Amino acid sequence: MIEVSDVYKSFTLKDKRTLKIKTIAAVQGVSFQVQPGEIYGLLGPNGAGKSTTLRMIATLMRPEKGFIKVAGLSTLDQPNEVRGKLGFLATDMGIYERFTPREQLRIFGEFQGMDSETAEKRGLKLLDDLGISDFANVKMDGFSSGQRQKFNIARALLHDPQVIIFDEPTTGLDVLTAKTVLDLLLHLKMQGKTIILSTHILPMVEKICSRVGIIYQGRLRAEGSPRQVMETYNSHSLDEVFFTLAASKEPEEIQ
Amino acid sequence: MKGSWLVLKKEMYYWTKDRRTLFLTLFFPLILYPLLFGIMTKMGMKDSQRLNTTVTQVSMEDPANILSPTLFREGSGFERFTGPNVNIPLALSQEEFHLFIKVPHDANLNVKSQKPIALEITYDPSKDVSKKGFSRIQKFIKDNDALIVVERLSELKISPEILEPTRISVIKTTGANEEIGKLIGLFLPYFLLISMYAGAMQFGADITAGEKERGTLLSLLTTRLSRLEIMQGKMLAIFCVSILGIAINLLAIGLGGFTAGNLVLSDRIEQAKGLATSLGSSMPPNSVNIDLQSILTPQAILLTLGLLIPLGLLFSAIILTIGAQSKSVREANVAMVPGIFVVVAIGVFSLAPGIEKLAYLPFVPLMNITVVIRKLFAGQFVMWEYLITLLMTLLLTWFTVALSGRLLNRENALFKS
Repeated sequence: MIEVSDVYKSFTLKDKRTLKIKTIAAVQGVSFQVQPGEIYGLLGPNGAGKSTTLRMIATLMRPEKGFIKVAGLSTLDQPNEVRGKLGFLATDMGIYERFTPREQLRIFGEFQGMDSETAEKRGLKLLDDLGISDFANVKMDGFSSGQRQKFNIARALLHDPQVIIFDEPTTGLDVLTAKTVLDLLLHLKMQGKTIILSTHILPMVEKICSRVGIIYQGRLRAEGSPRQVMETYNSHSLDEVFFTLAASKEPEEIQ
Repeated sequence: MKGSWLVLKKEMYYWTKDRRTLFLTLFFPLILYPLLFGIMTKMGMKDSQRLNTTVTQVSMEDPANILSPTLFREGSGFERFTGPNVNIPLALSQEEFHLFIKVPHDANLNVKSQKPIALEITYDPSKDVSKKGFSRIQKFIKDNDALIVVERLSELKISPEILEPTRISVIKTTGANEEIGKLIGLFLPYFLLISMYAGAMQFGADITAGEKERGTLLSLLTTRLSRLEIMQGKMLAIFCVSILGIAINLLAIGLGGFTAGNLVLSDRIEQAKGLATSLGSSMPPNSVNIDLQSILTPQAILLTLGLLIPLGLLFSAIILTIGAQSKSVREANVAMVPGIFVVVAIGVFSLAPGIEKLAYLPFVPLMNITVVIRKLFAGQFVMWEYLITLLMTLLLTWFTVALSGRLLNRENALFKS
């Protein structure tokens, strides 16, 4: 289970011309919970605060206020243990191009506390599930963006995490491969995993997410099942909810 | 700590996957230095042989025929230039002849009255053959003068020993070993400082800013490894590459020196064998013996290593901090370059004569290392200076590592890209 409780995060930006420092509130008092066996869609336009929220859950950033618990563990007090239970995928995650997938999965398995043999075995199984097992021993510098994304998914799931955070998992994938990833997510949901999915492909959200949360200007503006959210904003689709929210004012400045 | 070792293992394994870097770092110096030293020595020997075997062409004005008969005897190494009268400086620069000697027309009178003959010798110091000819003629005249003086003294029934009221016998308390040790001590610290910093710079930028640029640092940060373990592992990797680079470069230079030494030695043995054969002797030739084992003692190597370890960690922490604060490899390289100038400045300053006499120097970080190593190989080692240097370096290393740890834990350092 994931419990996000009243978290805040801000960033400082320096104006190169005036040299003034501005503080921008990225996340302001966001709270939500995701239960095991549930896919929670965290939605919002670019710069809304989604990635910052996901990074705080993944212990990559510390919230300034509030707390986050992942599988009962505090992200502030037990960050290493939290990451051990969490599989994280972001769009800007790179790969070690001089390694083969097999080598890289073995190494990352060791980083996650697995023995290299188990890591390799499970890694090869995941590569097979994602349809790239033929490339297990090929240096990754020639991989396509789709193959890279599939590999990153395999790496995120390598240690069989209880909690999965996928930020734009279908980026760079064709329709068929994207379906493979969606099927994989549904399969993981069936296994009782706690999943947060962040994406701009809203029809996909309507199809697989039990609940969604819409972040805009750092605040969680709406939460519930996709249908409930659409009803709240008198809209026929989640796209329309976005347009309604976009008419709101600019991000607030703390200072 | 296990996590740090895993990161170190990954970094070193990934490094070995880059064949071009591996070749340039590990194998290229081992080929380059011996080849370079060998070619340079061979060329030097060939040039020296050419100078020794070239007969000096002398253009001479000797109207009284005083010097010519003895100077141009067979096997004297001089040959008379018989070409037309030309512009002397031009002819010397074009090596038509190598010396011009002018004997005064009244030289006969001077010989008879036992007065000195005023010889005028013109040569071109910028030409090796001309310079060699000049040194040959100086020796020739000195030997010739000695013969004349002995002859004159014997006519006067005076012993030639009258010209030698004092006879000097020189005893050197230090030999070639100490001279070589001093030379090693002078240049080794400079070499160590520069290659330690510059050798690890590129690798350090790649595993910090490069990983940030490629997005692989984010992958590492999502594992259960702590940030401290990741940074420690990376620092150790930079340290290992820097030490490995130094070891390879020292080995390559050693191999180069060995190659050059062997070439010189075999040449000398050949020369000596020729001499022994011509004298009808079967005596083996003696050679100059420099005992490197007495210079590079285990104690000197261990004490140097004792300083290099904290110094390597210090440089690694600096490189890691700069790299992790940079957005890209390019930015990291730009930020690291001034460090080379600092290290070069320290290295150059350490070459200054008499610097080792400054009493406060053991307390000046980095500078103290160069001076202690210099003294170590020159046979002037002082234990308390070494201990203070070690302590100062350890303190600075601890401070830098602690500072880099604090800086690297900041989110804006990790997510600067």
